[in-house]
Amino acid sequence: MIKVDADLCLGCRSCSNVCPSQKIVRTDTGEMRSLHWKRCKEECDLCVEFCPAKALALVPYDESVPEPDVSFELVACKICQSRYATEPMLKRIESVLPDNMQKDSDGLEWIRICPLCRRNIEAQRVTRQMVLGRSRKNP
Amino acid sequence: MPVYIDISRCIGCRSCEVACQRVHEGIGHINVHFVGDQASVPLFCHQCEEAGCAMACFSGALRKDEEKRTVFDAEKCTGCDLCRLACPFGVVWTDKIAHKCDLCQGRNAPACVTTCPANALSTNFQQASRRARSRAARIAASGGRR
Repeated sequence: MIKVDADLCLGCRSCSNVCPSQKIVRTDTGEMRSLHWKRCKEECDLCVEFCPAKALALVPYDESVPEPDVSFELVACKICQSRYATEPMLKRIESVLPDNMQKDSDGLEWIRICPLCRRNIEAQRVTRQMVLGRSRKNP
Repeated sequence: MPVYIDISRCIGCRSCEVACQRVHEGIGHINVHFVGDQASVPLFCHQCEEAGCAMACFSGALRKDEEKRTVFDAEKCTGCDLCRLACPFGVVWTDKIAHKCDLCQGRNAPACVTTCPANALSTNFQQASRRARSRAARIAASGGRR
């Protein structure tokens, strides 16, 4: 069975996706994401291998150990307030991307903005550019 | 060869979205966004030189190849969702696993480019840069940016 280090777990979707016997249950309900590891007897360690945070370990089967549970509050987008990621996932992105990529000319913390709002911002940016060129052409 | 956009030509017909879905089993990697009544903007992978998605990918499913494309290997993807959060433009998606523009590898040209009825999309760098230069020249000739 699997032991979980809750301090390391990112709350991502990796282990629940790779488990061949669907023993890892991920539930997203509005504001929360919860993960639940059912007891398993298999010697398979795909979830351990594919954990980006190395938060999982394969331990001997033990009936007396409770099944691990971890839950996260989902972070709300700074713009539209939709819940789109867990805090540790965003922290992880902030730690792997170089500082210059996290800066934005408009001073936006884009990592804290959901992907849909990121697309809207990009669309508005290129539109401003085009409109400027157009008004210069036909003053 | 990335795909270049000239949004002043885009008519917002969303043919590119349909074409992309048609060649990718119903899962498209291009999204047309409308900015009021002013413009329509097809958004898709920029093939960033410093690709955030590839930096965030821990399994090696997303990486830069020799030709500077950001390529995706579905076999290696666990669907963890980190790449979607690491893309500054919101053009990497995750359903069961991640998906993004693959420049229609294996085809003669990307389906969005061959389909666009307005010639807003192209893979021709020379043409794209010529258009951008003449636009910049027009702006400069009329007094530059205020």
